[in-house]
Amino acid sequence: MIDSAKLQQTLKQHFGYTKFKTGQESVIRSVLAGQDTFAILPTGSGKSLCYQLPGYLVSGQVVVISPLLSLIQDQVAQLQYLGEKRVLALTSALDPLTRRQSLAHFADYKFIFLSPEMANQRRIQRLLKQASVALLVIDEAHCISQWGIDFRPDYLLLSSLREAIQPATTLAMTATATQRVQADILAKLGLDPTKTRQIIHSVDRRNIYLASEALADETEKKQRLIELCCQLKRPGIIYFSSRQKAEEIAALLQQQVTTQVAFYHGDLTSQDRFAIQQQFMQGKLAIICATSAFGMGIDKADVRFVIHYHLPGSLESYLQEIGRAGRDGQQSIAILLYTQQDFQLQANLQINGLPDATLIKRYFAHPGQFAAAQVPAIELLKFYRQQQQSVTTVLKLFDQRRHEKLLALRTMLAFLQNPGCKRQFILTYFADSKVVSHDETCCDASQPPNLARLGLQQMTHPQSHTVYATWQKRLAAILGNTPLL
Amino acid sequence: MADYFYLLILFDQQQWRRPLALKALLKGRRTVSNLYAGLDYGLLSLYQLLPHLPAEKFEQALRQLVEAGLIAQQGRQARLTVAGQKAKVAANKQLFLPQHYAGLKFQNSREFIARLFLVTQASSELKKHNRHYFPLAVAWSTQQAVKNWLRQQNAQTLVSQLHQEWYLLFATLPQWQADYYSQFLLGHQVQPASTQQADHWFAWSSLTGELVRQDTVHWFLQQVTAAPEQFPLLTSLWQPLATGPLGTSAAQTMTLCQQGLSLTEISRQRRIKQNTLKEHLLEAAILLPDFPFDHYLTASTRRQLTTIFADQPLATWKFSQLAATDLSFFDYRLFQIQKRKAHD
Repeated sequence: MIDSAKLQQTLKQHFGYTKFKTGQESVIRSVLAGQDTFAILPTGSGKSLCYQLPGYLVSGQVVVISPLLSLIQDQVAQLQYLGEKRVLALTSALDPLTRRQSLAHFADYKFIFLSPEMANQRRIQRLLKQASVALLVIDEAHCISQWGIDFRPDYLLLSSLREAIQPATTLAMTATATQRVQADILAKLGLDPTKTRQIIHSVDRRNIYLASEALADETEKKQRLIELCCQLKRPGIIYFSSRQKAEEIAALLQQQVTTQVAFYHGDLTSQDRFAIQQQFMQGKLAIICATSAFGMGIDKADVRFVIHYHLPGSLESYLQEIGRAGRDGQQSIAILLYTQQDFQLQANLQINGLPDATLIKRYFAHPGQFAAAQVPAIELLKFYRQQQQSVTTVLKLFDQRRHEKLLALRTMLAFLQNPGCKRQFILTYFADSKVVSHDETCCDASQPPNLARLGLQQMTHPQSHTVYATWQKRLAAILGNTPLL
Repeated sequence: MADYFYLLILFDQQQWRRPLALKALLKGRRTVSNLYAGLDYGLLSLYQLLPHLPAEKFEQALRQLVEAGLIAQQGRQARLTVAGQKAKVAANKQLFLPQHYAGLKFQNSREFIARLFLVTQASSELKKHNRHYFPLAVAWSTQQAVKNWLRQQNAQTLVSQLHQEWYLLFATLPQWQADYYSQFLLGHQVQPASTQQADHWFAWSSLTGELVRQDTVHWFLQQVTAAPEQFPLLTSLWQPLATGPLGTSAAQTMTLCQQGLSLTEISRQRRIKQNTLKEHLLEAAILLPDFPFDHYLTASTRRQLTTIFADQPLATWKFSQLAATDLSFFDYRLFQIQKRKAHD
């Protein structure tokens, strides 16, 4: 067993911390003892450290399967920030030359990040088999599950991947998994529940006040958003399900609230995304209008509010997104604004991405006709056909998916209509045994939030006039000796 | 003036031009047909000006100009109407137009600037002895190139020399342009602006912003390549990217040709079809100032072509006119390129 002094020393030396956050140490110890581990830790609990730190104490490689390109990029950036150079992100964003070069030096990397789709490529599997994988990490493991909301079919092959590469230890982690999803994750990974150490912490984030407000229409919603942005302590994040809306509202807030607002979504170039993230991290931006592309890897401690302008597609997404608030443990607030129309909008968004029965039948009858189509729906069908699934199975599967997505949305609706404690509703949904002691700092079940009492009200904000610096000043700040004020 | 007026700049009142070829040229689609169109329209320098131009935006702008009676369409070609010509003159005065952009001469300018920004950030952090920072999000190969480059530099003088070279470059620009461009620089505790933010501050459309940025980088490269002794760091950063106007494969073919290898030999050695090699030669014929036309067009071929197309305007030539001869499309196109260049 590893001694505490060694753990502490590694924590200090590589990460600059003196203390572990809740759950981190037990997960790390379990992994270092060579125990397959399944961990549920709340959002903002520093899950990445649970595989980063063991990376410095084991001799083989750490392979991390992660669902999102942006998440992979953020995690790689974090490790690079910590001074780690042996990091490889195998993503579709790699140009062919880079890909060739990095695969040629595969064995030299300590941390390898990749999507399940990439991990299932034959060439990559071969390399993984030859490598000595000390730790296989499945990040955001709820994505594995058929019952998980972000389900991707390549996750189905992870069990055979595990078998092929024979990692010394496997670690699956998530912040949001119902009991059914938990069981499914273990099954999909081929992990024996009796031999896998399960470390399950409450998903509750007590310092985030939970509120929702029903509004009559879009105009009223905008008005309310402006009011909230004027009153609330900043910084904050506002989530949208449409890129266009995020841009439109950012412009509105810029005119009416503060100039320190920017939008962020997947259509921005990587340089622009970088610029916005850095400004937000450094406190130069007060409010970000974003789609869900923002934040998975953002570790800004002092986010005081998360507002949802559109309905999240599921309680899982909601919990993930509000989890970006209050990572410093200070009081924060999550406010969901919605109108009656939002349910239909979200239902359409959820369903439109899935292939319908006509398309499925046409595809299976004439797959060649779709060879050039690069739309997600066809990609999905292609995958199932390659896995030799019959048209009947696939029809049934997608029918089920549609049903599940609507069910997830209905859970969201139930959450909003629930007259009782919102926190208790969430914990019950995730089969979390913690019992909530509801009071005025918990949620708006009995009365609307009192921002002043929560310490979240700030009626006057420092005036912000965006005056850009001249080139002489910027250059002097960057390469000379005059800091930029 | 709305962004779609930019499109007028690409058209002419006399010459019928193919919108599809123009779009492909702007996006940097390197085919002989697109490059020839660029040569023929006198717009080759705009190659790759807007690689991310959404096709639908281009088409929408074209529709708007046609509906406004500024552009006339005929089949797959279009040209300016009288009103269109007037609007073009006005657009020329009101819009920001690239003055220095040379898409083929500096075809790797985007990679250059990505490297330069990362170098600047790394140097700034180095000056402050800070090792913990988020490096600018660039391709892995760019990171590697920058790492290797930095290793070769003198750490004692790097920061001050880089400072001086940036200063020289900015000082050659009007204040507004240098101010705008400097918003994207980053370093220790200095974050870059996003393009949306900077465009907003300067009240520009995203298209104008993009054109200003491209024009600025190409202006920088002109300065650097014209006076390398003043810019030793930037010169060494640019040098590996200064590949000339040809694509990589065409450049390899030309090198082998210059070594005296025949197309058959090159085809065998490079495992490339002869037709592809001929495309490379045509690309070189369009883009190189000193292409040896005589080497590939025999005197008799030239005589035949001259006779057939005698006194016929270039724009009306058709390959089908050669149906009765055994002349190839390669001969035809090469001769056409030579004539077109001579005409300039």
